Amino acid sequence: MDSSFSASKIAKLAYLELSETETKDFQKQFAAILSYVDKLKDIPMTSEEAKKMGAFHITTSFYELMGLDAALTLREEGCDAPATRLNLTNDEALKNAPQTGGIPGELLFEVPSIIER
Amino acid sequence: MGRLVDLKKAYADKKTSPRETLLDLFKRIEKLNPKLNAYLEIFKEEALKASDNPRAGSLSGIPIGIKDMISIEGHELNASSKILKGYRAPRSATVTEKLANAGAIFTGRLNCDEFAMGSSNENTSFGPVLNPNDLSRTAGGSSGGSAAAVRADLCVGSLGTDTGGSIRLPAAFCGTVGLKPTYGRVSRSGVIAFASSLDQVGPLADDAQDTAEIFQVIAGRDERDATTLPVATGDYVGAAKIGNLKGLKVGLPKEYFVKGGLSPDIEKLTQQSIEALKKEGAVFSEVSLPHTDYGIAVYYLVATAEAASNLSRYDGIRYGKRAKDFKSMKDLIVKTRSEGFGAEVKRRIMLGTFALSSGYFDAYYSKAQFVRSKIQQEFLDAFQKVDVIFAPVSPTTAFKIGEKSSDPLQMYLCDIYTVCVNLAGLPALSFPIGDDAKGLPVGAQFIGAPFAEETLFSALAGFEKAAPYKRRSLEC
Repeated sequence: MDSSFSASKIAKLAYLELSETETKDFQKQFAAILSYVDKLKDIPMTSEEAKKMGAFHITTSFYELMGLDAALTLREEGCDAPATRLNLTNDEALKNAPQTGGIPGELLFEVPSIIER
Repeated sequence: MGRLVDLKKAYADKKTSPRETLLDLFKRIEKLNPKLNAYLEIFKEEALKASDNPRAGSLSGIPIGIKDMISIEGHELNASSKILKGYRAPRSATVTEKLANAGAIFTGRLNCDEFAMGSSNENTSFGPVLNPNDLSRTAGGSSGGSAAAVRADLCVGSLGTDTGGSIRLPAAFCGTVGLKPTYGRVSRSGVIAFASSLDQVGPLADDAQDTAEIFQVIAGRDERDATTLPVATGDYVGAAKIGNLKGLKVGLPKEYFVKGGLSPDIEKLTQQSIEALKKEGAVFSEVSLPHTDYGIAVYYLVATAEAASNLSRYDGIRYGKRAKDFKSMKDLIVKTRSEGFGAEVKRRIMLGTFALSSGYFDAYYSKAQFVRSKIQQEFLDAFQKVDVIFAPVSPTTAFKIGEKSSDPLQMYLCDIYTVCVNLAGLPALSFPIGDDAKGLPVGAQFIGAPFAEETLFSALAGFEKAAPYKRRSLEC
């Protein structure tokens, strides 16, 4: 296991707050999981190869295989494009909000103030 | 014949009506669901109303259950998580819209692991799904509700999602058929995202024909999901009707059949299935997938990295649960997530965050993607030589509730025969091949080349004729 792994540090990065028990359990469980995934170290990879992986996508080889043109999967953008049927109206978007504020007809998502006066 | 095709015929012959069928079905659900916990919610009133005048189409009046990861407009959608309690889907997913347009009637929302993360359906905020074959055992995960409901006759077919085996494993544990389609064959629009480069929606049902009937409706390019590919759909229903094993080239990956990799009963049934396939004219040869052993490690880095990113949207601001006492914006987000997510979801978000964090990115995430590309290439090379690959689904049959829940790594290892298919983006069809000595179903899978679902259905239809699986009557 990577000795620098700290459950509480990672929790902070992930915007999670762990209880003491969770921190202890996770620390132990991650030790086992990370020592298991360490088997990937067996496989050599050059820095060039690592760089390429940023652009890797599972469908890339399907395009070649099926003789497809990647441009075919692009679609029109714009208010009338069929895909934009999914766009929500303000009211629809606010329906699921845990807290809204403002004046009727112009409701907004309500959040704690971010900027101090 | 499965119940779906039977029912279509019975409707056509006026032997029963959708309303009669649904009344019976809801009676059964009300009796059995308290034991099995397959449904989180049933849509009785709405379904009965729809049954009076179902839309015409290939699934007219057919009762279908939907995993709680897939939107149905106006209905609650929780991903079996407290954090989404109360959330209502503003639009239907493309798949549920297509099913509704084909006349299907939705019976309800099916239980699953929280955000589809799990192999036993124990990671749900609403209690585990129990296996209809043995109530002390798990139904498998994450689409446990989808498999249990089909097996216990609480719906005729269902939709699940499969990110690392989440359709195929519960199908195997419960004794149903389940298809994980090619990545890009079925739209993910309106489906809650877990790991976007791995997730696929697929059907579960009794047999090849029933499963193909549902798949035929949901498959295809969707403008709302740019990862669906513009490849013409096949005649899946036709392929599942005919079934042909003569001359079918079947590969056996030697890495999937190592000594001690399977429980003795599964090993025996798997061998018997191979013999049955051979007898009908299938031609077997060995193939090699040398990076198989790295599959779990790759999967639990790639899937968690994508999950960490996808689940960042649950912040208590726009939808779902919001924590009560908070001091600041950040405090609101942290408290909401900490209270709302279950332990396994937190573990996966953290593992993914770690894999993506500065200083570890190349060693974990890039390396995982690199090995993933090799896993995919090996499969594609194998399909130069064979039409399908035959493989087990799980090293064991359904295990006891609580048996693995305290050891996440042991739980992850359940997925050893399923994850590589997702990593490579391939289709795979899981089906029952018999019961072990305890009477628990054993599954196997046909894995196909990209977009070769027709071949899978044809192979399974052939197998079903050669070695039909007899479901025992349930005691529950």
